[in-house]
Amino acid sequence: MPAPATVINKGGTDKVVILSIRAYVIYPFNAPGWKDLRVGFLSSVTDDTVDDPASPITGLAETIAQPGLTTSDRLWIGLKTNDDLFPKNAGVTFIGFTNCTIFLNETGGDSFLVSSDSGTGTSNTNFWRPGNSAYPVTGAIWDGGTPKPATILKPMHFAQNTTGAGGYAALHMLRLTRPDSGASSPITVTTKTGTNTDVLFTDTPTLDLLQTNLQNFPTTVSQMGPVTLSKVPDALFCYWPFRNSRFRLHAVGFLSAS
Amino acid sequence: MAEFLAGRFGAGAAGQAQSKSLNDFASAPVGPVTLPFPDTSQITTGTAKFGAPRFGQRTVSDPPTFP
Repeated sequence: MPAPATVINKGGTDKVVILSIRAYVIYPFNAPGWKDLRVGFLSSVTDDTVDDPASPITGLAETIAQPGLTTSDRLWIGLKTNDDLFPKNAGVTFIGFTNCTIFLNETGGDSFLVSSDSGTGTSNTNFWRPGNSAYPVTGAIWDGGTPKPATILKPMHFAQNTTGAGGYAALHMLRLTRPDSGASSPITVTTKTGTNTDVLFTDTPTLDLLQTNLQNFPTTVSQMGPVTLSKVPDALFCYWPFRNSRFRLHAVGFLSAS
Repeated sequence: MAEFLAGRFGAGAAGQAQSKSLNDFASAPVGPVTLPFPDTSQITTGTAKFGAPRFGQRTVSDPPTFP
């Protein structure tokens, strides 16, 4: 089996971790006693063979059609318990971006990646948007196989035409807050809202940019929860289910306050 | 050591201890990833810390079948 990921130097100082097709990364973290935890991902997508194609990055459209989809056919980018199991398994909690709708389960709706204008134009050529054909869900909280009450997060996008998008790397962030650091303390999750959940697009996905945006988290947000979970997630988790494209991670990080 | 960043961590967090860990993989070797993946955290402050990442893969032939 090929390596589950490859590192390239995209240029300048931007090292990129490219997950192989249907590969995932589990990145455990320690943030003891957090009451305000912010997580950010600077990421992009490429095709199934070329690590760094010229813009526009075309040919990624794909539909993983029903019937019989599993959690392996859904997008998962967010926080998860630090184990080797996928979300929805017993004892696994997940908070984040996914097209596994809490209303229809992993078996509901096709899992797709479509060309998109991010709701801001008519060209439909600037972005790639993962989604679910049956319900426009981009976020969820799962405690084992139990969905937690959540509102719908706005769609997430990745650059297709990097000029039109505003840069090749997209920034997506989650903020988790809780009144105290007890394991049963209810967690509220927020993300940037508006026409989408994309914070920005950039050609310079630096740590300074990531840190600044984590510190100045958007104030207009969509909210999930508060929810009480059987386990508090303690790892970052990125899984891209598609076969015509691969997920690239430029930088990742978290800030916590206790 | 915790870092105190009053006013830089959003409303209500003034005076709270902030920890951070950010990674841009700058020290990762180019090429196929092998484990253990190097600890490449570029900014770490306070008690926040990444552990060693793990990778895995769902095979293309994972059930169910696809059209």
